[in-house]
Amino acid sequence: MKNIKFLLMLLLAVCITFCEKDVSVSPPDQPPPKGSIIINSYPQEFKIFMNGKYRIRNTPDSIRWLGDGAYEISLRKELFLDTVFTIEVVDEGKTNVFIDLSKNPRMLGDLSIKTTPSGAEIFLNDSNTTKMSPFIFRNLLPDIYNISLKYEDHEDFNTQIAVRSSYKYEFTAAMIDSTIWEYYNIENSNMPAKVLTCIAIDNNNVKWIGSRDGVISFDGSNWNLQSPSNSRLTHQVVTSISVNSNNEKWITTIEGIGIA
Amino acid sequence: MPGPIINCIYIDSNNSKWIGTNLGVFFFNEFSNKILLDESATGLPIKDVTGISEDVYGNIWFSTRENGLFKLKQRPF
Repeated sequence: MKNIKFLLMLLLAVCITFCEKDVSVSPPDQPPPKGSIIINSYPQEFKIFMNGKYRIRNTPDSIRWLGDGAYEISLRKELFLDTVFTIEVVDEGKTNVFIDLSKNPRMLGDLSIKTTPSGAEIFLNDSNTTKMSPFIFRNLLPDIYNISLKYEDHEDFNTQIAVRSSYKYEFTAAMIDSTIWEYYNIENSNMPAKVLTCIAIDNNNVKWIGSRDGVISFDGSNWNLQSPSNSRLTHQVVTSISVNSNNEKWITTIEGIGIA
Repeated sequence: MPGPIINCIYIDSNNSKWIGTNLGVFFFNEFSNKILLDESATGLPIKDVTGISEDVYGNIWFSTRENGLFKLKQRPF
């Protein structure tokens, strides 16, 4: 009985010793370093890379818990050249950085606009620049620009251009004289087929147009498509159309002849 | 260099000739030398012209293989 008591005491003592040891080996809490860098830019939304690694943060943002030392920061954005600089964190202090990319000519790009004929009004992002073509816009912030060119009696010319850092984008727009031409396609009208094979015009000034999808008729405002499924047309691929003096349309397809 | 591929011909009410080709439309008459109406001359994607016709007002219409339908409202010559 005495033996058992002794054993129990010993077990308890060993247990306490181990427990004490457990506590004693855990390291003391190290407070994280307090240095920080706050980065802002104009324009904003630049990706922040620190020592080559993307921080998954975009400007404006702060990088915290930095120890003393030099940090290489780079700001990156599509269409812009990279901006790289080094920030020294001293005494775990706070550093504010503001980068104005519009002040760095290397970051900006040029846009040269020419038209035939010259003298079109130039609109950038829907606002009238009051400039006439040909014109070179210098030192634009890189971005996607909506460009509209307007010229009297010509169709508006609309396009999107990406302006990049240290790059001159040049283009020439051929302005379409709307007093001379009208232009219909499947994007700008209700034209019901893309591949056109022939055209004939009847006495009522209706245009009859052969296509690979049937016969299109166009009276100047309404489009209509006749195909084997809704007419007596022998095949959808039309090869030629002719109008006789009775205003009848003779239509050939790759499989036969019919009259409409 | 190969010549243009000719798809169609049309003779209008003024006895002018219009030739539809893969490059665009060639025009000529007794007073005019041959003129090519193509993208660089007009700004319009006129190529692979498959058909030509004149309407009752004297406008000339062109059908093309993939680029739609063109109406020439006045003669630029």
